[in-house]
Amino acid sequence: MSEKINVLIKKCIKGEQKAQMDLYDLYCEAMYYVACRYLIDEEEAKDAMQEGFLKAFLKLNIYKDKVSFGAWLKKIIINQCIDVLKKKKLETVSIENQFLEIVDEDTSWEFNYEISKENIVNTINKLPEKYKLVLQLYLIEGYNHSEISEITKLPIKTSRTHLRRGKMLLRELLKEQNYEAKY
Amino acid sequence: MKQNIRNLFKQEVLQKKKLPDSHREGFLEKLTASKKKRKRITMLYKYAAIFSILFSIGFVVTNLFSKENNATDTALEIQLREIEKTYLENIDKEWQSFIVLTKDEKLIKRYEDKLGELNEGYQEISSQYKIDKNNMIVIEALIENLKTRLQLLQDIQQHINLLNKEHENTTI
Repeated sequence: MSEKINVLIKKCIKGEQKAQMDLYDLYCEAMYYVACRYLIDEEEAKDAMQEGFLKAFLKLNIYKDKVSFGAWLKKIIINQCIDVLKKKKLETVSIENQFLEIVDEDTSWEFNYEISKENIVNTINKLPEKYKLVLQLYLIEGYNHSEISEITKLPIKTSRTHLRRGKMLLRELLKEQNYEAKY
Repeated sequence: MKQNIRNLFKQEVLQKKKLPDSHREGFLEKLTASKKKRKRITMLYKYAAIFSILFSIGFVVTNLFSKENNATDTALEIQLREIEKTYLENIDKEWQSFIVLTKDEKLIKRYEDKLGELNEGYQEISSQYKIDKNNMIVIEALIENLKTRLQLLQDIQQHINLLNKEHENTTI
């Protein structure tokens, strides 16, 4: 599989359209799934995904197989989605608010066992955009704080704050749904 | 019973979502359009690169030549100016002492006219030299003019010497 992809990548760098379409066919549905996590409008998600592919084709010569091609591509697609969100004026937390924040020592991600993955994803989608974004990047995509800061262009401190608040809200919402009755 | 929800997502395999039917055609269109756009941009860059290379070569070449010219010109100019300065200073000095020593109005007038003519000629050649600094004929004419002045200066000096001697003789 990876050998096949490597060959495709080399052909794409040379600008072979067929190889580019083959690569698109291989990853488009997975990348569309990722894009839909960030952009609710499916048409918007599709456009962002396709734009992301075009950008990836331009950057292919700098791709190194330290990470899987899928992970590399996913980052570009997510970046593209965030660019779209930013154009829609994504809210960010002001610095002043950070000082007013009561430090939440809760670093645990232990939640009630009955909670399903699907339920968590659905609840995250209900959160305000800024918390939703950081939670998705941290929890679902598995990026660390410096990666999130790089993707969102937010200071690490801000993304940590968003994550903490996001997690609090997630717990509360899940509690309301009676899944976290004990908390 | 608790669970770390981070672990829930760790084993995430790339999930897929079905795209609308015409997505491939749409992407192909975008891909071709972006290639055309890039091609145009690359061509533009190529032209810009060629132009800037030619421009910089031209700039460097003219700069080199003008520097060379400037260097030779200044060397020549300095030489000329030095010669000119020495000659003119000497002429002026001798002229002043000549006027003091002689009361021969005709003689003064004669040399004054000669020097005036030569000076006019010199100014004329100088202006030609400023226009065309590489013309050997002009440079030669300048030197020739200075030579004539030198000759004149020597004549004056001879006159002065003669006059001095006469003056000395008369005072003795």
